[in-house]
Amino acid sequence: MLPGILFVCGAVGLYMVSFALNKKTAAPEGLSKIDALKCGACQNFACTIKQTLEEEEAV
Amino acid sequence: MAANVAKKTAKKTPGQLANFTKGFIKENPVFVFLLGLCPALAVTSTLETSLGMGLLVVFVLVLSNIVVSLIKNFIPKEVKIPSYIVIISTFVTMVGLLTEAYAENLFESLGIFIPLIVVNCLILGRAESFASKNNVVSSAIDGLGMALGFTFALMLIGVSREFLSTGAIAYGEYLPLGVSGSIFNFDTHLFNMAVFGGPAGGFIVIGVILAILQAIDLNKKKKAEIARQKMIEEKKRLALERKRKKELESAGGQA
Amino acid sequence: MTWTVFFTAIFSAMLINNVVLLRFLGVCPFLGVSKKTESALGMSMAVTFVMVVAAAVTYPLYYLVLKPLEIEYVQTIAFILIIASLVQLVEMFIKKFSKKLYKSLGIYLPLITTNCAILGIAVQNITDNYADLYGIGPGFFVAVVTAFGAALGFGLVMFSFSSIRERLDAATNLPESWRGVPVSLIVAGIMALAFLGLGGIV
Repeated sequence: MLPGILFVCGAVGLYMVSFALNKKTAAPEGLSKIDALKCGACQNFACTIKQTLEEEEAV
Repeated sequence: MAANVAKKTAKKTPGQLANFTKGFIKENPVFVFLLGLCPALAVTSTLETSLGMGLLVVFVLVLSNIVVSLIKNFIPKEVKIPSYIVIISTFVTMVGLLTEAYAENLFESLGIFIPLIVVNCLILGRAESFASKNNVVSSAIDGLGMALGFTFALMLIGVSREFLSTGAIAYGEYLPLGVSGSIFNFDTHLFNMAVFGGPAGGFIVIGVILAILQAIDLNKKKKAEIARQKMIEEKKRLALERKRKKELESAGGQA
Repeated sequence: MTWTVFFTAIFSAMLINNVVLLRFLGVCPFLGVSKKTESALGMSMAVTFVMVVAAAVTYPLYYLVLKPLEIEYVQTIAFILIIASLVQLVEMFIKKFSKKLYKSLGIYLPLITTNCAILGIAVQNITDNYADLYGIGPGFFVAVVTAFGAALGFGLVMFSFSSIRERLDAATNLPESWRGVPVSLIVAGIMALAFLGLGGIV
C-alpha cells in the first residue's frame, strides 16, 4: 500500500514540476497568442488554451 | 452552439429537477456535445455492454463530482487538473477492480475501455465546468443526470446495433443477472446485417441518429421562424389599421 | 526474433488494427481537428511524437517499477499522470528550441493529454504482453514500434478524412439535416469498411 501511495505522490509532484516549468518558459516571440479559430471545433475541456481564452472573454 | 447553451443555463440557474433532466436530451453529452464518442462507438455492439459501460460511468461521475465539489475550496488553481485526474483515476481503478471481481464477462468485453474512462472528456469536463463551481448536492445530481444521459445515449446506440446485427436482444450474457436468454427473436435474413455489429456500423448508426436529431432541430427552428414571421405580419397589420383609423378620424375632424 | 516481427507489428498497428477506425481510440480529435488538412497534419505529427515517447516511457515504468513493487493497480493513475507531465515537458522543449515546430504543433499539444489513443496504446502495450512473448528487453522495441505504427495509422486516417471533409463542406446538394457531423460519421463508417478489407494482409 505504502509504495503505491508514495509512487502516486511522486507522479503528482512530477506533473506539478513539469507544469510549472512549462508555464515559466515563455512562448517564442509573436506566438504568445494562438489563433483561436483554429481550435474552435474541439470540445476538449482539459485544453489549457481554451481555458485562457474563456478567461479572457470573461474579463 | 455549445457556448450558447452553457450561457443560457448559467443565466437561468434552473431547479434541481431541470438540473437532473438536462443531460437526457437538451445537453446530452453524446448527441449534443459529442463527448465520449470513443466508448460510444467501441462498446455499443450489444445492449448489455452499453448498459454496463453506462453504469460504470454513472458510478465514476457521481463520486468524482461529489469529491471535487467537496474539496473545491482547498485546491490551488495550478494543481486543479492533476488533482481531478488523480480523483477520477482512483475511482476508475476502483470500478475496474469491482467489475473484474463481480462481472468478469463484462470486464473482458470492455477491456481497455475501462481504464480509458479516465480520459473520457465528459467526466473531466463536468468536474471542471460544474462540480468546481457548485455545492455537493447539485453536483451529485448533475453528475447523475449527465451520466444517465450518457447511458441513455449508449443504450439507444447499443439497442439499434444489436438488433440490426443479430435480430435479437440478448440478456444475461455480460451482466451477472442470474438469468440469460434473448428477446425479439427475428430469425430472418433481414435482421442479420453483421456489419452493424462491427466498427463500420458504429459510425453509421451514430451518424444516422445525429442526422435525425438535426432534422428535428431544424424543423423546430423552421416552425419557430414561421411563427415569428406571422407575428410580425400581424403586428404590422394592426399598426397599419391604427394608422388608417387615425387618418380617417383626423380627416373627419377637418371636415 | 527477426525483423519480420517489427514489420508485422508496424503494419498491423497501422492498417489492420487502425487506432481510429477499427479500435475507436482518438475519435474526438478525429472529428474535432479534421476540418482542414493543415491542422489534421499538425495534430497527427504531435500525436506521433507523444505516442512514441509515451510508449517508450510507460513500458519500462511498468516492468521496472510497478511490477517489482507489486503496485500494478496504480497503473491507470501512473500512466495518465506520466503522459500529462510528458506533454508539458514536450511543450516546454518545443517552446524553447524551435519556433517553427511550436508554430505548427503548439495548439495541438495540450489536447493530447486527454487523447484516448495515447493512453490506449500505452495500456494496450502492457495488456498485449509483449514482455512474455519476446522477453522484457525486445518487448520494449516491439512496444515502441507498435506505437509508431499506430501513430502512422492515425495520421493516414486523419489526412484522408480531412481531405474528404474539405470537399464535403463545399458540397451544396447535401440535405440540410445531414450537413456537418452526421455525414462525416457516415464517411468514417465507409472508411472503416474499407479498412476492414485489409484484415487479411498479415
